[in-house]
Amino acid sequence: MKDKVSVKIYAGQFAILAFISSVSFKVVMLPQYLAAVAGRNAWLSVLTMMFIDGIALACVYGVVSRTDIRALPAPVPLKRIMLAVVGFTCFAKLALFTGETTAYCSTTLFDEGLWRLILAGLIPSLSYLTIKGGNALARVAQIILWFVVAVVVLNVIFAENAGALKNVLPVSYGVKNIVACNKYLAWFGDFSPLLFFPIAEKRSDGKKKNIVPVLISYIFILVFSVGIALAFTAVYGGGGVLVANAFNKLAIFNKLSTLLGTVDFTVVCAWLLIAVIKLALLSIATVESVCCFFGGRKAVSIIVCAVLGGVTFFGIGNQQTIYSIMTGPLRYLTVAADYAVPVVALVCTFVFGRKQYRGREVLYEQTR
Amino acid sequence: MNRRVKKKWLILVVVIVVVAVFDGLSSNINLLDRAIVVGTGIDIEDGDLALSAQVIIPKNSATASAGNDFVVYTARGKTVQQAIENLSYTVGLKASFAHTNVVILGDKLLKSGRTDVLEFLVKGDIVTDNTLLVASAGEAKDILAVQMPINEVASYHLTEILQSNRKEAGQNPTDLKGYFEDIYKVGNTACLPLVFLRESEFGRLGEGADGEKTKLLDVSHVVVTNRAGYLVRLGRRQSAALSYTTERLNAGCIAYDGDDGIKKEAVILRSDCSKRAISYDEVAIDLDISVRPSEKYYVSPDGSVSGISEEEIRAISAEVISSVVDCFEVCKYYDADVFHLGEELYRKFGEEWKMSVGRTYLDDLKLKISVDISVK
Repeated sequence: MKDKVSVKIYAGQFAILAFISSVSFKVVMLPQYLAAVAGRNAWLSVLTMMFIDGIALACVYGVVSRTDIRALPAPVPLKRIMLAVVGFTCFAKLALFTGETTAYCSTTLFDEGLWRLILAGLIPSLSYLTIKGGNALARVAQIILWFVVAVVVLNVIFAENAGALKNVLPVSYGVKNIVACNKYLAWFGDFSPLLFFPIAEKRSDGKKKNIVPVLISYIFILVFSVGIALAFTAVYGGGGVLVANAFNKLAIFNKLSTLLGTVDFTVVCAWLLIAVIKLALLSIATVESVCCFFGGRKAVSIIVCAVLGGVTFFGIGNQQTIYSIMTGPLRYLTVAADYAVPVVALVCTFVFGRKQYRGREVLYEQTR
Repeated sequence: MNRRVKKKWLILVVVIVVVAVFDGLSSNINLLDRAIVVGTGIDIEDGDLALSAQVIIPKNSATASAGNDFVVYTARGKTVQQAIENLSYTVGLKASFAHTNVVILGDKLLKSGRTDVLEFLVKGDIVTDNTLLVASAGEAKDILAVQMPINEVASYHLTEILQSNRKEAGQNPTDLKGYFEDIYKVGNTACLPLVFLRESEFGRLGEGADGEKTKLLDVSHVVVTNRAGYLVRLGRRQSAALSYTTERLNAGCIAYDGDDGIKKEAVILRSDCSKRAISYDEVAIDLDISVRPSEKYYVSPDGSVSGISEEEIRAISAEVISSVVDCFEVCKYYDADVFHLGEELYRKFGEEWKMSVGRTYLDDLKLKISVDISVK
């Protein structure tokens, strides 16, 4: 069983992955997109989606604390549909966020904007992380978290008071907020890939799994996502519609900016780390779902990453194309994969769980 | 060596090779092959954009500017991007704008309505959003090329004036971010400090300067703009009034008529401003200013110090109110909501207010100004 990799993770690792998965791409292009539709009340759209995401996270945790989507005690056809939906959505989001990462790197970090070269560096790294699997990814996330925390703390300490919170006024929740939520669905609902990461019963030190890390993670997700949206409006006001790469622009308002130039490299490094983890998470979820149909994990990993490279290299070309696709009808995949599937999966664990618990492994083998 | 260890070494070697050659593959340019631009001026010449860049020629030196040489290069283009590319050809090095402190916009450019220039700067990552924006009374490149009395260059000098002294009465610094923040407020009005050259009585000091004639930079005036560009230039008194209402001040002077009929000045120690929307068509501006007597007028030759009389406090208060009203009326004529009063009304009354008033809400707006002067 060379292809067998462990995907069981601890509750703490699950919490870290959930945090990274949720916040990593809400701080790049999304603030600008939301500002264009919902104006200075864009943060209310984020708040709305965060409450929905909270329910989705609870459902995902409910599933993975008992089993995982591949071993779900559910009728095989239903499980196959769920796996297909999640797999396809994860791949679509992978293409979207790969485009966003490449666009950011090529416009900000390089003079010549050689995005194909950036892809050439990114795709093999993703392939490697995907082959290594969820357990390795969770450990990497655990290691880099301290660096990310240190960068955030440093930025808070050296922050320059560049904004005014009254720019957020008047607060009014309206149709624009709903339209914004609807149009940018693909940037929310980030927890379905975690359905492939069952939580271990016990840690190596004997501690039993518990929900506390996940609750803390959700509080941080809520505060961070809404906080960034608020900070963006406070700093740029209505001018936010012109400002791309929000985290990069916000980070420049610090007391060291004259020394740093156009980018704050600590923030860039921290974001690149969490971006790669998010991409790897989506890639692993895609591979795991494909494996349930075709098997051969290593081969599937390489093929999925190669297809991703091909799609972004030759198919999509520029970020505008994938933006148009993911703000079109395809965005409703998020509703299906990230909101409907966790709920259905949780219901299945309760409805079929007790009856078919003993048959769970059989179903897993069948789908695999 | 077993297969597993071999594989690890292979991966390590591949990573090292990729890291080593990536820099070469990506055509990244060495720091020595870059022209570090510290200040930029943008003008319009014969219908084209003329981008001037003050480029640093480094020497061994520990300070920001002393010991280094600065050269101003100019390149033209139909767009800013084209001008930037042409600039690299002109300089012979890759122009790098990451450390640009100030962008000076020429008079003709502002009056041309080329809003794409500033939009390009804020949308892209060429300069940072905290780069200072300044309007020039003439051509921007003349400001960049000016000889300062000390061994200093215009870009650094402007930055020092506007950033270090940004809380001084009469100065209204803005950066790229602040400009667009204001432009997108209700009323779509923003302000830029106007820089112009003044004759200097000093010769140039420093290595190799030989006492050549120099000029001074004056930033005590303001240009008001809207989304279409240039609207009106405010005078010194109106610009000072604007600074009372936009910044929390801790320096500067208020000139007024003293008891004895002589023009006097009070030194500002602290000044706070708050704006309140009272009703749909009334906004209050409350100024709380703390001043002290200026030594120049209040210390008599025998050394005794006289305070500011009650009458003079009323005169200071009247001067502040009068200058703010003057500024408001001038801007109102151009339909420029320079104090962002519409924004205050919108924040309090929301969309209802916006729907109930037209674009020319300033015509019916009542301004209530109160000034509380305290003497230390």
